[in-house]
Amino acid sequence: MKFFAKINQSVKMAMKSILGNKARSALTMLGIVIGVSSVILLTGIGGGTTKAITDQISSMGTKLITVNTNRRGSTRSVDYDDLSEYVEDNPELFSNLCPYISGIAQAKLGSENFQTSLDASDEQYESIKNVELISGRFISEFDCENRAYVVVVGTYIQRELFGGMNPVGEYIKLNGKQFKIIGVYDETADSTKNSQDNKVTIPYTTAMRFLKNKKISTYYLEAKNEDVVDMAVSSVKSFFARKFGSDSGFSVTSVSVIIDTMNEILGMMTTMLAGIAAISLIVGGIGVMNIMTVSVSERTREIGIRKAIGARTTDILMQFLIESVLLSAIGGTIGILVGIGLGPVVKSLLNLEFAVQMNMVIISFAFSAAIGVFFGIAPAKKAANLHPIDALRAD
Amino acid sequence: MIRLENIKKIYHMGETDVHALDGVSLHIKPHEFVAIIGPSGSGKSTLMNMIGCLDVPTDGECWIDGVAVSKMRDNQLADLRNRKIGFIFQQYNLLSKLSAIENVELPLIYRGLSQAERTELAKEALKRVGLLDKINHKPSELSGGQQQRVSIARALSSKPSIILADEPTGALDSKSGIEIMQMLHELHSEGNTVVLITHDLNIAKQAERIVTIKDGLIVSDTENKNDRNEASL
Repeated sequence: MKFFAKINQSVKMAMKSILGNKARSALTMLGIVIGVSSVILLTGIGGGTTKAITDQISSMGTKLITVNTNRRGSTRSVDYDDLSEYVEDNPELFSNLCPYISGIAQAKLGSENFQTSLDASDEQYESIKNVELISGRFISEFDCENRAYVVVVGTYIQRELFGGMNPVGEYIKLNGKQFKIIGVYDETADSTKNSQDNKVTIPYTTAMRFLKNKKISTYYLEAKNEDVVDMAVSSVKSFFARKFGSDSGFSVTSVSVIIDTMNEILGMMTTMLAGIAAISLIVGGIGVMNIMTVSVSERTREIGIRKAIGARTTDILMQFLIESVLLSAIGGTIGILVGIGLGPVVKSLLNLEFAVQMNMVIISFAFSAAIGVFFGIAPAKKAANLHPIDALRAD
Repeated sequence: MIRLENIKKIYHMGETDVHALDGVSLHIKPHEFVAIIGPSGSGKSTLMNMIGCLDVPTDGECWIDGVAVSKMRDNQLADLRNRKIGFIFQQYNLLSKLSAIENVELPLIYRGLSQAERTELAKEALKRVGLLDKINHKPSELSGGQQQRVSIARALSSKPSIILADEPTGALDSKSGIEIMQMLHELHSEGNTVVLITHDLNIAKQAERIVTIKDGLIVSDTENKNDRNEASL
């Protein structure tokens, strides 16, 4: 109780002293304000950029695992049924699987003739790859079983060949074969010829016959959830290694592995930025120490009076330490507000992503308070250890 | 109350040692009004520092209210000053940024009293010196005499055993000086122990007992029976 009363009193005295020297206090705080706000800003930009990139990658599906088998010799391939069975046997790791074939096709409608990228899969592809359609439906299990000549087209084809009209139910020629359009993809790019919107998707069974390609070189697997992605990846690797009799000839990648790597790199960059900003925080701390040292010499007589009437060494120490901690903590708080306030400005001016990092807000506040202690302790000790007689004699 | 036994204080000034006090013994009884007089350099300030527990002797022992001081640590000395000694300085030594009442409360803060207790005791002390109407004034808004009365109130607020006044009239005009001396007399007659340090014989003569110090030694220690009469003149 007595201790808290004394602390409370010290805080009051410190506030009085800080407010009594407004210009000087403001200039001292400025160093801390600049330091803290740049930490908040730079880590915010780092965090925002990381998030933007991660989101972009995540949109490809964080649970997605891609297996590529190099087309090298006919012995090295894995049958779709075998892999299906394996996926079904491991429901705790996998929730879905689809084959994937890609190639190029010559599209023709009337007099229009152009190249388009063709891919092929089955009905599971829709959910695994988060396919979005603007009209019609995706390939069904029935289509695959019947090797149906049906196709889902991109918006380039809709625009170029059908003038933006709904093409579902119409026909298009791919490599000379007539395909019925059953659906239209949502626009992913800008619907131009060289974009991802110039594409068609057909049942994989149709593609195997049509492209005269008997092997499925790529599989997409979906992990049950984000937590088991790593385990699922290694499980699939061992499955393929068993089938292939070696560790080579195939590759297994997952988006979460890419995200992990990206996060690591971007995290290092953010730390580096924060480190640079922290240097200005330390410079600000030296400013606090400078002012506290001046303040102690100016107030030598005050210290003498306080000691004469009964202030203990610790009372004086606390008074000056609390003053320097308050100075830097107030500076830190202002810095946090400035940093958060400047975030949107930087975002719009420099076209950078910005996301306030709450942990950095807490860390930089704690750090600025710690700077107050660290750089305040020497001047406070100097004040506390003054001899009352010497201090009283000072002018 | 105060007992000094063969007090020596030696300051090391470069190569030479200065014997500020060279074996001083002094006994001040409760409720006494003692003046310590001596020219500058006589050692009276050093003696005041000993009595006021601002410093510890190089040799000898000093007892305040039966408590030996010489082996005390800084914090123990601070507590002793806080509880037993009320200082009145020549230059008032008020904190310029604090109001009168905040100055008076200062020793009570270091004693750890609550705000309510402090306000009560500080008002009581300011009432005693007749400044209850000026409690929120800063020292710069008060006259010299008023400032010295605030410092007396500060000395009184903690109800100390000893009031130690170091040239209390030294910075005041003669009228204010008389007022301050009057107040010390009143405090003495109310039962306080008052120790007055001065170089001015006219001031010293107002005390019950005059101790003269020279070159670090007490050269005379006399009763002064007519103190009250002279003071009232």
